[in-house]
Amino acid sequence: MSELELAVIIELLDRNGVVVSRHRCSELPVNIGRGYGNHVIVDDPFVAPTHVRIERRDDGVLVARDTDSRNGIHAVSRWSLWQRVTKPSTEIVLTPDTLVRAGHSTFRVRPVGYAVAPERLDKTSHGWEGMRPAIVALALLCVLGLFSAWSADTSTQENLLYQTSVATFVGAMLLWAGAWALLNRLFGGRARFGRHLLIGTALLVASLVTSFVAELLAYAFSLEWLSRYESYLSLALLSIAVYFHVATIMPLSLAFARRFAVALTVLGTATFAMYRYSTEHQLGDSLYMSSLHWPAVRMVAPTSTATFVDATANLKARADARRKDNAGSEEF
Amino acid sequence: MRLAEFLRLRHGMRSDRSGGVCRRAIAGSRAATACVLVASVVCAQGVAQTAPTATDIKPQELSRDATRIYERAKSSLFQVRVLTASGRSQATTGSGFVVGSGGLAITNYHVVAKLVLDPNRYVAEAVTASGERDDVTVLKIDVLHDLALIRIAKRRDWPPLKISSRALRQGERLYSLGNPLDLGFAISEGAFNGQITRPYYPQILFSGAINSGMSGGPSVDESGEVVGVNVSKRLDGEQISFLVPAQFVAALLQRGTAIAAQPSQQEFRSEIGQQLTTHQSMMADQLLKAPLATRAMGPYAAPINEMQGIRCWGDDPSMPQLKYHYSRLHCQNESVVGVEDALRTGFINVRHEYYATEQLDSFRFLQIYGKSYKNETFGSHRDRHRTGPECTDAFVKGDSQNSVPVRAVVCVRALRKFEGLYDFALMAATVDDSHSGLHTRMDASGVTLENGQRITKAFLDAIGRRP
Repeated sequence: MSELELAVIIELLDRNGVVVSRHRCSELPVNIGRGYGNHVIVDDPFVAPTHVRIERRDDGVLVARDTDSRNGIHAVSRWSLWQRVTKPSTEIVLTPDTLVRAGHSTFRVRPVGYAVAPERLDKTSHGWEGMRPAIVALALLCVLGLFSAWSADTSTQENLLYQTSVATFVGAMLLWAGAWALLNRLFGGRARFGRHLLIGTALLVASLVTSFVAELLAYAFSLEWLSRYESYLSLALLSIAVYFHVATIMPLSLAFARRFAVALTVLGTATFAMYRYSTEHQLGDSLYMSSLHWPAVRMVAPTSTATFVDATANLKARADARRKDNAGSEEF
Repeated sequence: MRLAEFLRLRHGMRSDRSGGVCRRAIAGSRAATACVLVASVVCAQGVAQTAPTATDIKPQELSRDATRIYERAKSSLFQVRVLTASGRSQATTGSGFVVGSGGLAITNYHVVAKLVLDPNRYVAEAVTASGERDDVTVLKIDVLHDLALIRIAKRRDWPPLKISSRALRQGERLYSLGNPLDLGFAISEGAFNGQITRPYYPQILFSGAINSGMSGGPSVDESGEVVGVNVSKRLDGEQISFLVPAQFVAALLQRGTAIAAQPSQQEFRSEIGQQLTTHQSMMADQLLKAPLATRAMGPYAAPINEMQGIRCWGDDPSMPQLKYHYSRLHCQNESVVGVEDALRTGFINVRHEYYATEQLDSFRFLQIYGKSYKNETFGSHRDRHRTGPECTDAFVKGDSQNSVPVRAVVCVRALRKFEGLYDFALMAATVDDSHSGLHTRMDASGVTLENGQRITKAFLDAIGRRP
């Protein structure tokens, strides 16, 4: 083995498992401790002046050996949440992923020949940061605000209708994106406010367009269910937006973002359904298809009044079944 | 009750008018349609009043006739108190009078409704002017005329009042007796002003004061014979009161004399169910004996429930600044059947709203038109008396030549306590134009499936364009 291959890198990690410093040591053994005579010096009051020695055993295995410290050394797993209280070991066999805790400090030892993951292809649009997405989002919000004001503009006395509407849309979205940017700053190190603003706005546009199209389809083909369960569609869209927000915060943990969004959808849908059932004894948003559209959109022929009225016999059966369903409130 | 006290109480009532008795059921000028029985049932509640102070007292001279009539009737008169069985606290108070031997007496159904519907939780007692008390049982009820035949349990020696069977003349003096607001026994004078023909059940228009707690008390003529039973008054009028004509008292007496003991809760319930069923079939038959009448709303023909006792009110609240036109028409039954405070049924109500625009594009017009269609409620499943609404909706078109396609939804709710009776609610919006349209809401309460279907179909068939 060449000298290069024998060299090791000692990595000191913080509590989150992020590397704080790396020390290249070309020959073993290596001493780690608080004292200035060590190869790697650790400023930790719970670490002995000379706490641990990294050496190669006679059989060639790399080990960490406790050098008579008070607190000892422990092999720990990556997730400190599941950390069990262990007795200190005198000797720990080091694999490239073994974490060793001495006092409050954690380190890992890897050979210089350690194989790293291949380079990832960078798909980030570096141009779509900051002002550019923010401007697009604000422009979209203005359009939305103006459109919403226009559709409510049915009286000649509506002062400031357009201004108020735009301000409402912009203000609400700034708050939404602001919250995500704060999370991004906390967990991702930077805010990416413009991106979050665009994601939120895109969701809003998508949900408005989707619900309008759904209503139109429901009306055209008399699909009552499509209109009555529209809220569930909006919930699904919200989860998609949450996925993109989380993926923006943690671009390297897309799987986590996906799981988070799916869990949120399931939880949100179940909560909403339970709420609807407890208040109205039904799961839909409304009792009937409630939006009306252009006569030309309607694709189905109207039924006869006789057929329609006959269907109320089923309603009678359903109502009869419910006759005693809140009997708790009164004796029958 | 001493006369001096009676006068004081009457005065107390006057000064108390705004504070005590009843609230308008329907606000504003529409209160003209106010439900009479709503008023009466509210009035029957015992309202705890503090006696007016001495400075309020302004004794008035009563006619000598009134003094004589009160003296004669007072021993047949009593207050009916419905009490909670557990705490014996007062739930409702009203009045009653003896009509036959063996303690047979009459009061309003709404006075003893709680006892009839829930005999496990309520009891009733009769209290005379001299303070004697006795238990009360209910023998027979007439929900439609709002009468109940009761029996005073032990004290069967109270003298009965005679039921008059003669025809009254307009302007004839009548005297109404009872215990207003639980203050003490009172007599008030007024005039007979004819029988009004409510949809099915005639009542006497009495121009005199009737107040809460006098419900169930007798109204007598100068000879002291009972001509009617105090039942209700209009809250939006002055001294507009109503009496149940004596002929229905006689009829009830005849039907109920043989009954020995109070029927069970279940028997009463099915009795009420039968009376409601009879009522709704009369109502449906009357409505559907000819094609529905229609009123013009823009180019549309809006079907209405033109029946005896229906009042229709139009409203055109379109404000000049609105870019669309909007007008309303609603027709309501003037009387409903009050089974319980929160259960009024046996009516058909109709409301139309017409929307049209010349200035707006179709997109914005349909937004407004659709919002109004969306903004309808059909009640909650938490209702004690009715199940939650079960609905079905579709595009529907009537059979007639002028029918137009509508988007319609029908919701059905069952009356929980009365099997076979339902509330039908229809909401329909015309969908043949993108710049105008008619919304129709029809509520038929307390009908059988068959009649609900017939009525719903009749309305759907009649919605259309004017020829």
